[in-house]
Amino acid sequence: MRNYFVRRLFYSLLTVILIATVTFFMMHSIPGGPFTREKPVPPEIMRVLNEKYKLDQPLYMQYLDYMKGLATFNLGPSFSKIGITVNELIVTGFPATATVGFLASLLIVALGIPFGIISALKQNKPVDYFVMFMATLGVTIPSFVIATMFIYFFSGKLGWVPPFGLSSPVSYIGPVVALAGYSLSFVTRLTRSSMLEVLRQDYVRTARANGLREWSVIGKHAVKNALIPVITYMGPTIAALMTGSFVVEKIFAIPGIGRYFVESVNNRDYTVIMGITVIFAAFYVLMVLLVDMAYALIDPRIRFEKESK
Amino acid sequence: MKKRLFPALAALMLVPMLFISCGNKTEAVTEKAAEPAAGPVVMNWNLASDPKTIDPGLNGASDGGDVLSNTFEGLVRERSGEVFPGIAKSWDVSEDGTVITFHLRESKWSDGSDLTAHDFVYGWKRAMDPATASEYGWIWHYTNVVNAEAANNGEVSLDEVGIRAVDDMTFEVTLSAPTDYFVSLTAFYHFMPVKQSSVEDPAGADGAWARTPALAVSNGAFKVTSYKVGDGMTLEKNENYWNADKVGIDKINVKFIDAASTAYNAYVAGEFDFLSNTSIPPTEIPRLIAENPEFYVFPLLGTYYYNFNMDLEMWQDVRVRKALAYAIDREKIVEVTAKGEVAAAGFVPPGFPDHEGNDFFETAGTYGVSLDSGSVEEAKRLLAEAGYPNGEGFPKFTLMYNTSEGHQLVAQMVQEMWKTNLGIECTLENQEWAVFQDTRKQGDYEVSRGGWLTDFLDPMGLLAIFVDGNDYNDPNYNNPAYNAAMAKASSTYGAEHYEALYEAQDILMNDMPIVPVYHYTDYFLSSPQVKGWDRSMLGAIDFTTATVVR
Amino acid sequence: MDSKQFEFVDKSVKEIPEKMRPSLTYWQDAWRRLKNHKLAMIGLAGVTLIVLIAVFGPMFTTLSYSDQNLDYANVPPRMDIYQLDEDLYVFLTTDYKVLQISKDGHILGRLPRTKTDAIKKIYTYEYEGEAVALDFSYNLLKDKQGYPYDFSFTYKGTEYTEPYKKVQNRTYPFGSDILGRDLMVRVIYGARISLTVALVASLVNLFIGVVYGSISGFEGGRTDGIMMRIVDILNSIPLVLYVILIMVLVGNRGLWTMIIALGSVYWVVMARLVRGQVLSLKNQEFVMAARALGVSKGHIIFRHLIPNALGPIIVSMTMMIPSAVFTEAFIGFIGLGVSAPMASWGTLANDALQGLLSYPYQLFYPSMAIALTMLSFNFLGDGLRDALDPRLRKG
Repeated sequence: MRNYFVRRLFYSLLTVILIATVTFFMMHSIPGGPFTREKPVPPEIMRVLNEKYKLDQPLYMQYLDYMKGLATFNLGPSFSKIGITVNELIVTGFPATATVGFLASLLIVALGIPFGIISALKQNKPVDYFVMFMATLGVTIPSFVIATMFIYFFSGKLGWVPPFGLSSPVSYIGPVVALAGYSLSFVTRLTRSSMLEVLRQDYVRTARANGLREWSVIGKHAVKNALIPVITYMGPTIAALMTGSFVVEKIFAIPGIGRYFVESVNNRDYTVIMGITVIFAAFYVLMVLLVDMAYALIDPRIRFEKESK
Repeated sequence: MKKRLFPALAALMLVPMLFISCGNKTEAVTEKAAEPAAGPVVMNWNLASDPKTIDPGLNGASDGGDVLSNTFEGLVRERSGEVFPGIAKSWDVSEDGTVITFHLRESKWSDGSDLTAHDFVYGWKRAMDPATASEYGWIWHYTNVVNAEAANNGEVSLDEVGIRAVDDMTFEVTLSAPTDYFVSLTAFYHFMPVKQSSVEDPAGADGAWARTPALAVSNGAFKVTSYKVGDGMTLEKNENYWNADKVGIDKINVKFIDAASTAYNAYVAGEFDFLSNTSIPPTEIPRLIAENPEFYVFPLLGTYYYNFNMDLEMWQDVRVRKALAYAIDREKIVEVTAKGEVAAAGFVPPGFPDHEGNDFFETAGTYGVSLDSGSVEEAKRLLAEAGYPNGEGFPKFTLMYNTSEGHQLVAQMVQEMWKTNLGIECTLENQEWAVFQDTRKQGDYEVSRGGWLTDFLDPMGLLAIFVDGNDYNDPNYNNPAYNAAMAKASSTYGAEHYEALYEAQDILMNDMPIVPVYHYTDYFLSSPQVKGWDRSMLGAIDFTTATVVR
Repeated sequence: MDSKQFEFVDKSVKEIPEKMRPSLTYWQDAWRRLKNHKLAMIGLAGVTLIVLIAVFGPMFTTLSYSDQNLDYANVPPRMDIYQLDEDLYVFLTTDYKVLQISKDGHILGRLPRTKTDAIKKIYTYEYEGEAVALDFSYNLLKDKQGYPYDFSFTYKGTEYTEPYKKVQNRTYPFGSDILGRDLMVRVIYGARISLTVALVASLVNLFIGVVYGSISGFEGGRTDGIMMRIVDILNSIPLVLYVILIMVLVGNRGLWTMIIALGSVYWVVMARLVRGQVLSLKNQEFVMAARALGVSKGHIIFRHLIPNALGPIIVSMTMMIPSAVFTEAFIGFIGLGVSAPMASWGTLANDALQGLLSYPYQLFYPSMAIALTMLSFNFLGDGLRDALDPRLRKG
């Protein structure tokens, strides 16, 4: 297990580097640059700017330069917020983003899984129908609508929460709900269907036939196995939630890093594009690794120590 | 001059109204007598975006400009088109109009040090120095300051530029030609002084000093006391400002909320006293114009238009171009876009007084184009004359615009009008902004959207872009007569200058290389508790003399 | 036992009809069970209906998705009309247009505004030479507080403060959008794009996601490692960047480029899910048994592993339909896919967002269409899962 983990960690690192490389060249191959302006920038100034940000060097040099910086966690200066480094942008924005993302992940796990299980156990009963209805609603209504409506009612009409930002504990409710909505519904449905699948398995039938108490059957045997698809789904989802959503952060005016995913590309803010892609990729490969570890813990039949061939 | 061109709205502004929250019409608030504020006077303002920089020399955007007009002050101040003394208490212009001498008042920086003419020399030279890499460097081309453009292009030394400090209190500028708008231009952020010790502090590189409270030394009514990237900033009254007695606000909390619906909700909830235009949801505007006296509309010196790609065979016939320009109902378009925009027949928007004090826009007229559907018959006739009766045989083309809901809306209306009025079909295509600029510059289009805002108070700032060789001449229009008229306009002033400009626009509209659609507007929501704010004709908001009566 | 109880079968009878139900193939059996699944049948009917509307609906509409009537912009599906005269009914829109409506809800025309008094809050409109005054100063001006109504019409000297009745909009049953286009027609046309997208997304999920994930999981080891790292890379590159790149490389060629963009990144979630399932299934007894019997890899994957993972597969497939529809709208907004004025449900929903506070109905109908589609697919999917479940086949 430990060897496997170390080896996988190495591959994860390699993956992040690969992602950074692909993104780097992709980003430089689309038209426009950080200094593309409606009003023409005089050629001499363009030259100075390019020189200053090393954009006048051959692309592979810029690439090597960037990777060198990356190795020392120096993500370079931002192009669209001059005088500010990408490190600063991430350090100031990440805590807010991560807090909301973490709470959303917590909400998904804490509500999605139990609701899914209950729904499966009460299949075709009113509870099941209700939960499934809510889940359907949850994936159909996009987060921007949940967010806009939330602000309109709870802040505008009722005045229960501040209209923007994260100034008080209650102000986390809106962003967390809007952020979690889709995945929460997804997890609920996934848990339910996976649970139904497991409940039909022979070993559950055997356990029941052996006279084990229902909660023990469900708790010990069924749920654990039913969680595999849920965990598979949650891993990358947590990575996405923790790095923020453009829409939710924009609508709730959260000073996080999620907004940069779209903004940076529009501004051709090369270093910021790279910075947040790398952050996301790092989170993502780490979560994927944890998911694979979790498989082995849940289901001892899944082994990773040896390559199967 | 005519300051506000919306009589109804102007009247509205003058009428004292009571505060009515938009969501809740029944709850009336009884007007409180203005009592002296206990504690500091605080205003909450949503700037709508985190400015790229708030360093006067580096800034090139309107959000930064809004902050700078409150934190810094140039030689003069321009409010609603009128020029007021700023740090310069007076100025003399030489006989031939080429040497302007500014006499500075005794004033201080926010750190208490003296502000002298040398600070202006430093600020200006820094701004034009190519090493500073200010995006706005191109403005020097229009200033006519001796050698400024050449210095900006790195061709001559900064020492050869026609500006100097005669003594601590006298600042002298030498122009290559008399320039009408020069004095008003010095109100612009690019020409504000900066404190050398802050700018050159190692911790303040690339304009970071302006965001760092310890280094943010300024000379305007307010100084920056905190700054959080992506979130907001605080401005506090600068006690060392020369006119500090007139400054009515002690503290401005600035937020960078870019979601209009969120900012608007917060305004309705009373969390903001002032909202800039992008913070107001467009669909709410028709209602606000009708119901809410807190909504203000001003003309913005710019025009929304479409370019014909003049290099293409299909646009060679002027009758075709005119037919397309005449076939759109501009009044209907501005009714839908609904921000009080002014239907455009020419390229110069309202707001420029000519040598006789008449508004250029009104004097120029509409060139025979009906702003509503009145010219459709004429358009049909022109198209038929050109050999395409009812649009038959006219090649299909693509109308290109940059990705935005607003541009898409206008493009869809124009497309439908051309289809129903002329029988001409076009398809719409949008491109992401950076890609679009590339496409347009390379002339890789048939019809493309254009929008232009000027940065100085002269129609030159608009019409100059269609001169052959201008970077922004996207239609690639080239008429020697037009070029000549513009060349004449740039070397003359007074009546001659304006006559040349009128002539130029006549030529332009007769050739119709573009389809003008509307002139932009700027708009705000301002709580009635905020009084005394003003606005520069070029768009920057000015809270210097404003106050908040709670 | 009496031998007389038995008799010889006539020798001409060669085959004895067995009292057995006919042998059904896997798919016949599945169909039989699907037919007995009530919700699945409702789902199937729903899907069929939506597809029929999408394909044939446009033939029955007089207007096209692009036809505008700017005078009738932003008219809701239900209107409070005011009776001003024997045969004159009017409706006031949110943006202060006054429309003449027939008694049963047809829009007849727009009254031109002749005078605007912004201070007294009185707008004057004209109908056949007579002035119709709209006074909306109530509860707005200081001296006009505490009224039960916000505006009134004055026509020929009489003031009308109460609506005559609420009528259904017969001209635009779903209301009209900001350019005065019929929302119903736009939703019907939008179905074509959004259903195509839903279908493509599902197929991509099924054929790329499921197959890729199961191969990766089943092969394990280095193959799995490499295949999953490819998924990681695809999943981490910013979508916006990717879409712009496609746009620049191939240009916008309509729906097809959009499908390529969507299809090439859309299956990664499914691939991960299926891989996870296969990992836990592949060491189970029935798979080992099949292996021991020398069953081919392909057969094990397609006949044993995938059918056993159908639950999560089908749930994810249906749950991802709305996200595909919205992703299409996002990609469309960036500039890839069908161009305006043609609109998909996702685009309609996005466009409605701006005016959400003033015109919520513009969001309601496209969202409703998405929800109904997803629900139908959901029901059908659940039924299919049960019908295709190899374990249920026994019973």
